[in-house]
Amino acid sequence: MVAQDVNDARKKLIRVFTFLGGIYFFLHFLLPESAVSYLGWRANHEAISNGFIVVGAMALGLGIFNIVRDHGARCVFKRSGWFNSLALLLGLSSMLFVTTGQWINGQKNSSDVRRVRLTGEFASRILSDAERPPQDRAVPPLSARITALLGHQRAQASAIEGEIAVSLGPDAPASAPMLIGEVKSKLDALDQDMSEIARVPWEALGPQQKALLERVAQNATKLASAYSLIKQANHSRTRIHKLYTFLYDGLFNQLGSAMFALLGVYIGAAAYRAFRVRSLESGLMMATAVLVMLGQISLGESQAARAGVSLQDIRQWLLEVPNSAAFRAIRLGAGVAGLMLAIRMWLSIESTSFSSRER
Amino acid sequence: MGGRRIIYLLMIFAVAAPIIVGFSQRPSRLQSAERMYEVVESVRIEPGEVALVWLDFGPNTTAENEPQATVLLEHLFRRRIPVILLSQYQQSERFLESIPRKVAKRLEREMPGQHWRYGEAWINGGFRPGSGIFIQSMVSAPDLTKFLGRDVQGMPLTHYPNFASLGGVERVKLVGEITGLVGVFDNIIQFLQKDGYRPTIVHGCTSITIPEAYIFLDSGQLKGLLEGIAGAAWYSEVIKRAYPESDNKKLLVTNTSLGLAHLVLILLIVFGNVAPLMKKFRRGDG
Repeated sequence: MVAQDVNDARKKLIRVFTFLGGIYFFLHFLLPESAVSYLGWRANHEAISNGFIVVGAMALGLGIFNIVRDHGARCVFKRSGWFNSLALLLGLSSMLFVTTGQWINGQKNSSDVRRVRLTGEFASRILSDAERPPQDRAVPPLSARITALLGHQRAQASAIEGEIAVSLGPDAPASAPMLIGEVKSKLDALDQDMSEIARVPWEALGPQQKALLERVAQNATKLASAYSLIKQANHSRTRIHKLYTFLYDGLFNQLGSAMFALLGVYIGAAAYRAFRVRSLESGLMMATAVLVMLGQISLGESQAARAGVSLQDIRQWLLEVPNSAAFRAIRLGAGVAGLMLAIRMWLSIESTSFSSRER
Repeated sequence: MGGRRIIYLLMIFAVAAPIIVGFSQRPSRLQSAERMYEVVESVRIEPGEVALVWLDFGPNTTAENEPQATVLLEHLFRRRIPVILLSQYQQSERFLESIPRKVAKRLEREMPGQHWRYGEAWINGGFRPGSGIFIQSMVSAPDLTKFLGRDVQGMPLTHYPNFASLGGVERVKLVGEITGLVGVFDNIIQFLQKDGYRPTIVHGCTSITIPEAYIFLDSGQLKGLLEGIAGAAWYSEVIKRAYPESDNKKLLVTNTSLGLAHLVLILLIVFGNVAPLMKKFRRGDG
């Protein structure tokens, strides 16, 4: 009895949330922007949408869980087709492993480049704080911040030198010397700025100091951009990236393309066996198909032109006039049906698991 | 069974022969592709304005969609229009990475001394879940840089000067959608707009979805269309007229092999209709 009550309450809750979700997006789409702002939705719309996207993304996790449970059980108990399930699970786990490795590498690269860029951002911040001291927070003395800036840049410079050394390996890409040259020149420019900064007194912010900090900000940004190219080039030489390329380009891409390519040979067989003119309608359809195909290829174009026929114009007319009229009708019909289905889902009367019909 | 094998072999031969020999023919002139070229050519951008290109295809339709993405990006790169690449389809992740790099590399080879670099010429926003909901949020976001947040590598967009202060969606001057999926294309048409903002949308579709795309071309919601490989091939020809160094040989060979396959199909249809008639005629004679 209690279980039944809990179940009923759960169903009601799902219906309420489905209805609220539906009405929110319905009104947000239909109402003018002024009304959306008046209701206070504009400011929170991004957060609400993200919430819905997160809920949708959970379905992906649920899907993985189901696949592992069903196919895992088939493998463990050696049910029929267990070998196919094993192949599926191996594919899933290897791709998960490799893409996670790729993602971690990417994040590390970004954070390294970001640290280089921070030099410039730090210099800009020192400048703006010195010009307009902030009221809401305490700022260390200018000289202390400059010392910190110099320390940060020294650490970054040695990290960049290390990355350059990696770039010079035996399997370095052809673009490596150019990229290295670019990074070195930017690094030298920044090093020069830094040595000048070390020489200049920093008790107060004068025009010389200001110009120096502005230059550091600019040069650090340029260095970060060039450094990110070296990081990308080095990343493409990592084992995990090569493995990813092999799995995606070598297997997944080829298998997917091959599956779709089979359509071509099936269509060939269908053209010969099934495209028979048995009535006026089928004759019309065949003639149209042939004309559209001929209009799309250049083979035979000049012969047709000599006969005073423009196959492209005929094709264009067929697609623009009869085809568009027919497709509009189909889309309108499908749209009305889709609307009905959406209303039924919105009111939770479509799915039997939430409707009263189940009882 | 034997007949079917002959048909399969014929089709394979028709597709493979031009590719093996390297034979190409001038592609057929397609008005929709030409219109698309003119639309992209007419885009004028101010600093901070961008083009938004969605690559929503996976390995299954890469044969048709990849050349379309390539020619569109080539044209945008040549015109130095910064591009944000996004996807509603998780399988396109690899193509978001590889296609712009290939195009940039080719252009750099063609024009030594000039560079098209990641972060300047384009950024990869990656796969974004939520399709329609995501697009609606994007349209109403006051600042695209903040809304998109980071690129696929996790780098904040503020790191890239061309994309650091984009502002609202009004700064998107051109929207490109390359896909073989009708649903994701519908999301763009339906939701990527708001009061006072109707973007210029161009579309690359597979041959199967051409008939459906035409209704949007006819209504003016689409400003240009690339119809399968043939559309991409003609677009590349139009690019070549303006930029004679552009190398489209590979695309023309692929298009020629497709054309030959079409011819074989037509012959098979004719033969499939004539053969039974002849059989009947002979039987009647006998």
